[in-house]
Amino acid sequence: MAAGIPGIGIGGIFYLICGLLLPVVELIQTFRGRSSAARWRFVGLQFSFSGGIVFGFYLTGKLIGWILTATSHQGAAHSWVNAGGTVLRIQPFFISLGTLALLLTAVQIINAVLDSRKTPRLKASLE
Amino acid sequence: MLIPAYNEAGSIAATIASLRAQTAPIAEILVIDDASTDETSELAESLGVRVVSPPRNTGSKAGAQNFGLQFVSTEFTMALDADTTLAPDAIEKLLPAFEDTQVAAACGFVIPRHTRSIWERGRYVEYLYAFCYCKPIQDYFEKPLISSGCFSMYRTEVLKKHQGWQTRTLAEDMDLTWTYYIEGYKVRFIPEAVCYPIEPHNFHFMRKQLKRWSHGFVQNVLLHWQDTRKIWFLNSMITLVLWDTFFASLVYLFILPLLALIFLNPLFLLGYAIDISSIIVPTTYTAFKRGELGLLLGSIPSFFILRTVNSIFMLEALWSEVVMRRSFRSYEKGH
Repeated sequence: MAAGIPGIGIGGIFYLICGLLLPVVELIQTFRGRSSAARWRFVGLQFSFSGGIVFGFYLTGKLIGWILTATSHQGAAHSWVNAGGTVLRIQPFFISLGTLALLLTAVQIINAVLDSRKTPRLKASLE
Repeated sequence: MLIPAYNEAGSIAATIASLRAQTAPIAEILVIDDASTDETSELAESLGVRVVSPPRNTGSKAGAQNFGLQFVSTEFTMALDADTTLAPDAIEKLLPAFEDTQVAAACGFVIPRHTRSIWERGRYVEYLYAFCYCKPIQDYFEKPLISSGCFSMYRTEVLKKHQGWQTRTLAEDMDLTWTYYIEGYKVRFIPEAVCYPIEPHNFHFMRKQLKRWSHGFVQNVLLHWQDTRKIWFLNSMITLVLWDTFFASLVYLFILPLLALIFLNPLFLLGYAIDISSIIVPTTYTAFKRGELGLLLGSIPSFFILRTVNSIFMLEALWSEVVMRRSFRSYEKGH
């Protein structure tokens, strides 16, 4: 079983984006003659999961915003709730997305640098 | 079918019964009794199964499986934990994956057999999320992260070429999977092939399993990081797991509580559950299909507890293996 913490962090965003992009990838496979009805059903399901997660985040933010506003003093808007009635902000999502893009890009750059230097194999000695 | 067993008298009968009920024939069931001190061997033999015993305890599941591998002469080898039962058509569902001659291993869907304690319930949600959302995506890109050690099928020729399962890490299933990718083989995930392992029911055994898995993961990263660089999707998944293991664990264990304390605002603790939709959405569909919607919803709190505990063990593994260079090598059972 994979160690790690599913569902949070940029790993979760990675799978979310994969799920949302699967129809595009499968469309390319279709043009290449490598698709099938079963594959499209799978893609549809995973895309629905990812879309549902995004919608779920939106609902969660709205629900928490409603609860905070309803329980605030004299029903005034809570400081965490924005004009749209949600506690979620788009900025953290873009920060996470940017972190994901930067991290994956950085890893590929590091790989390219290591390959270009043709460094000797490092043996992680565990024995 | 190789079944490594150490003191599994309480569970092996059910495992063997599930194998006898398979729709696809099994050439031979071989129990490797790894110097058990209970009646594992006698029980297995009484059920008509061949039992072999290494001269002394091998010290790990991989060691026991390797001892049994020498007796295998069939085209395919299966490895099954002695506490794991299979759905009647599990093997039948796995077999078609090997029609692709490049496939070296295939694994199925894992669901905890018991869901009584908070640990088993947390693991239930964790597996449901991983096996209905993450692993299918991994398989779509032809890179399931692990061919689960509790139940997998292997092409015997390839397995023997690599001398079976290596004992150089505590996660021999991950080591074998990543080795196959590095050598250009494929590994498949077949969600229709379902198995039911017994998961740790209390913190004592959960601690042992989490420690083994956490250290096993880090050991495999240290071992394979050079060679997995060439495999983009695998490399990306490993990078992200490492990143989340470190930073998400810090957020969970330190940053959220600190923010709540510094600003005297408990609302920061919402961060522990703000992503609940990412867990509920994919798992609800699968739980509904299995008629387990109530079980899922009742187990969600347990998942968040297990996730927090898991983050402690992951940080400890990173600290121990990477910073202190102290490799944890003790293989202990999880139940």
